[in-house]
Amino acid sequence: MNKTVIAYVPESSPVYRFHPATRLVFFVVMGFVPLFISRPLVNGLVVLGFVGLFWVSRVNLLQLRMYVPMLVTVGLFIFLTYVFFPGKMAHPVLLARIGPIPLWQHPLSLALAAYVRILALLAASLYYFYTNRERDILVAFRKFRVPFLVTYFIGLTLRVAGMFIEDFHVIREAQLARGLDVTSMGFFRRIQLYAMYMVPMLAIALRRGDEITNALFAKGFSLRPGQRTDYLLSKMPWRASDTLVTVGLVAAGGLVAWLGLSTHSL
Amino acid sequence: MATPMKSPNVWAVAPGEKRIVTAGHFVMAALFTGIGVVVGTFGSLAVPLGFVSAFWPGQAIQAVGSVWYGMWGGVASFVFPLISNALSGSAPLPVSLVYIPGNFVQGMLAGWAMRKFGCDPRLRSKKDWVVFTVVGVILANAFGAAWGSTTLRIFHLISPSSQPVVFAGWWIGNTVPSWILGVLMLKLISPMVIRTNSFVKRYWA
Repeated sequence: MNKTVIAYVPESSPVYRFHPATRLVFFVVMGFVPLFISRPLVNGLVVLGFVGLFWVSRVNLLQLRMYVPMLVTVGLFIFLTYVFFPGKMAHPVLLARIGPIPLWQHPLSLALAAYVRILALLAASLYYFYTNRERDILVAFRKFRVPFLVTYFIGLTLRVAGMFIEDFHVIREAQLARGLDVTSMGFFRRIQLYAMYMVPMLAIALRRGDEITNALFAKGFSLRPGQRTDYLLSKMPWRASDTLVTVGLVAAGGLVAWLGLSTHSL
Repeated sequence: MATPMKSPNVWAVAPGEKRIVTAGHFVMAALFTGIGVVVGTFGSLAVPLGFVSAFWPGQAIQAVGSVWYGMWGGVASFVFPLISNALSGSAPLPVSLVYIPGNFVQGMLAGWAMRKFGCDPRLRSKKDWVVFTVVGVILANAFGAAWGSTTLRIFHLISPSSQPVVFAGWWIGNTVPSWILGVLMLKLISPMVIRTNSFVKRYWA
């Protein structure tokens, strides 16, 4: 199993047939394409396509359950703003009335389009972080010749985030072992709880910062640019199929953007 | 009653003291970004309220980061929301990219104000409390909420006429946890941080 940024994915997953840089291009293209699509049906198909991709890539779909509350509240938020603050309408069409609240057709259709679009955009982000490891992200950036300092910063950040998630779980499990029930807590109690997480985590961070700095100093790390060998990059070869897929993705993305901006046909 | 001793200005650079950028600053920026990713992600997932997270403790990390580590904290301020928004599913990449200037200013205001007005990060005097609360939390969150709600409006994620309400909800909702967490971190951890080599007196070193 590969430990990705968010989950575990089998090494035999078809997604790993592509170079990490190709996967990054896919993320960037699909992270923008839904913006140029105005029809909810088309963006809905993009979302379904991502569900299929998750399945084909052998990501355990049950792991996505943790995002359900967020996705539901995002939807609620969009719809509520359009229901309660519909703004001025040229030709208002009343669809229904829930008590004193009128439901107008135009604002609701705008809300639906925005919600499905945001689902498609979020699916692209989640798919990328569900299927890529820290090293994949680094290799992708280095393939595109992003300066070493930037990629090192990103790598260190992702590594440190992983370490802090472990620290966070340790603190959380210690609290659970002492009978703390987070689910029954109110809003302000949760804020207090977060304050309790922050202080030990920051104290750990300061100590860890010193350790990492000393290790970097011992290894002769310099902030100045220079010639470096790249072991990771050499382990992940770029194939002809990657060129083909990357060119195809960029061309398809460009075409969708052009169609969306010039003809509004999507 | 003993007269309280005036605390020395922690930002003052002593004669002959050299302040240079080291790997330690770089590491602390990455560490703060990492902490921000974790805190921001879990904060958004713990109390999910759509784009307007009524509980986003990330602003406390941004403000405190810029107070302790200057521009390195400012860098962390705009980098970690890019990652944490993607991981928590609270905002897609294009929206997060447009948030960048808002996040940078929202984070850096506290660091700028504490340096500009010579305030102690350990919050020892009334002036320290007022500057951090008014500029580092209230004004910073007002700017962040204004930028954020405008971004949501540009992306049609809220209706145009709902922007003032979204702004108010965002501002008030983020200000409360930011203030509580920021004050706790500054009071409890600043005494340790200002003794470390990576503490930034100016903006980069």
